[in-house]
Amino acid sequence: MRNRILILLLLVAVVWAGLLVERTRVGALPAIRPLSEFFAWPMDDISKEDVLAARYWTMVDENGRELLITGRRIHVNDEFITGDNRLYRVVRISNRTAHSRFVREIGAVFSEQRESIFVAWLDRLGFGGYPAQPAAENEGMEPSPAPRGLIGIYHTHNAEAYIPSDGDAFVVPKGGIHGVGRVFAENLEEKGVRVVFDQTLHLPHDRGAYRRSRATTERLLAKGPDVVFDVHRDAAPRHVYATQIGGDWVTQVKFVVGRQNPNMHVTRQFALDLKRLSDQVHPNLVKGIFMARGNYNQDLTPFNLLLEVGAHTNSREAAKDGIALFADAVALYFYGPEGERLAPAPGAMQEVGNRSALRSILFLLGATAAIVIGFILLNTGRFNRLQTTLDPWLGKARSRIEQGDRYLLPWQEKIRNGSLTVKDKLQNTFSRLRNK
Amino acid sequence: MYTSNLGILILIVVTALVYFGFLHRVLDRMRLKKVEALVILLSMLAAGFLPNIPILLGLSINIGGAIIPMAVAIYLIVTADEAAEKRRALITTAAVAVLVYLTDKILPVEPGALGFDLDPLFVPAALAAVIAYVLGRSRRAAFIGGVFGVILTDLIAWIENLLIYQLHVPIVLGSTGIFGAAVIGGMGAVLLAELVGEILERLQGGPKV
Repeated sequence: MRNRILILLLLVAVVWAGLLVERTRVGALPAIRPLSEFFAWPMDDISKEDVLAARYWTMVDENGRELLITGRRIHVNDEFITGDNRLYRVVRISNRTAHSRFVREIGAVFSEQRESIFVAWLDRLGFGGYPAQPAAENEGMEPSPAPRGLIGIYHTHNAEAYIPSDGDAFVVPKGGIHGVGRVFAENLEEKGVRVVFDQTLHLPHDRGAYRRSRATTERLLAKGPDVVFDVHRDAAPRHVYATQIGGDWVTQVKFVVGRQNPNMHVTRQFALDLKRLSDQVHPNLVKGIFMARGNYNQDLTPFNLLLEVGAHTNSREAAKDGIALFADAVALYFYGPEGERLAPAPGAMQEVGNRSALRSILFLLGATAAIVIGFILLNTGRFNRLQTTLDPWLGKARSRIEQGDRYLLPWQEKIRNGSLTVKDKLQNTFSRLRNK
Repeated sequence: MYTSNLGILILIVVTALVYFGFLHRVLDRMRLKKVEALVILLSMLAAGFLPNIPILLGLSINIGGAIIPMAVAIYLIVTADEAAEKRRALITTAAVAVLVYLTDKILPVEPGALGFDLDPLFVPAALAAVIAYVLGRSRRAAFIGGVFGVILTDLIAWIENLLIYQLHVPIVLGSTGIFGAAVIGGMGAVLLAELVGEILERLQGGPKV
């Protein structure tokens, strides 16, 4: 027992040392800091020293063109959909620069390929989901008076602030980000949308905030909203998020989709749909979609999107103007044009589609099956014993498969005959062409 | 409402069923009968929707997410045969709380800081699994460490808010009930410990009888 405790202490020391080294290596922490500073300075993706030194993570394409500058650490295989809908994947990291490769242009659907035979079945059964029905073609929907729907807004990181307006990058307890959230809520309400703006604090400002904000997400979900937004700001130089729309300088809005959650495919498709609509309403307002590591409580609902509204170097006013424009796109996406007052969401959810949901389901079931088989293998020890365990079920499945085969036999014959006919015709055509 | 789409509704139901399946499997391994495990699981699910019980100055506790899992954990400690098993459980709890607190403070706020980095929601489970396994290949210690580790970390956060910021920030112990960090911490730790433990034991040529 004593040895084990020693091993444990050693493990703790190694993990701690590793974390400190890692943090020092990425330049976000001086090697030794006084304890008072440890508590007084809220840690963020980029520390105060970083903010002063303006050291960020930059994503570039094959030609060295800057795609993204962010406070989030970028990893190999991270993906980013740019404002002009081009998907890039990080292939190499050197000195805070993520070298990425262009993958493809993104259309209306993230994944253009048919993933599996199940998707084809779903399409045939009429659950394909794409293309989406535009709002105007949605028949049978009675126009309903305002208020329309319900949208939830909250802030996991309450202290996030904007230096030019708030004087610091973090203000405890409520930074400038709360002002941005309020403007978002007010602008949606002006369009007749009901909004729950939850300003619950999740302090202290550390990594555990995401665990604590889970309760807020769940409380909002209990009210049955169409979507919830977790509103943040990024850490980046001022020019990264600044853009001119309609003659005014505003900050752009970036979407973050967590990859460590079972709803990832749906959330990503939802983000893509919302971006496409926003591009039509206010071009260049949405900076892009970053598929990052993490969960961000997006496992609780696929319709929980993390927004980065500007960076700490932008003014709060510019961020408010940016989110006010974004409210136009959100209201239109979920509830259609203002005059029509459709309720509930006119096909918005169908746009997100069954297909991405199905991908998630297949992924989830596949992973579960792998784990269950892994456990059986481990517990039985040998593969032939796994076969013995599964035999009764396999027996049942086998008889069903045989039944199915008998049913499919005439069809197989037809397909075979058809393909032979086609083959003959092709051969005839070729020989005729050759003779000519 | 977001469940108006058939595919998404199925996704939510399937996710919940798979999750409950794993939870039941974990409870089943915790010196409980199948029916007992099911009753505990259902009561956690139902009680998670009950209002939180306020304790003091913003601190409150959820029945399904904290009280029932803690009761199971305490039952496991009390009924442990050996004193060493009890010690293991308590040491795992303390180590998880300290390490989770350190990762909360030292790592950047946004997940994805390290090469192999998990969301803060899954960190307690991973730590509890590793520590409990190192201490004595104990699944029970993993469960106890995961549950109590998260609850202690939340308590520390509440104290920190009181002492440093003089703020009564609402902190719910075991928030989000059965889908909360404490339950995921405990259950995830058992699953991981079992999976990793079994693999290691097989690699060594099976358990020594």
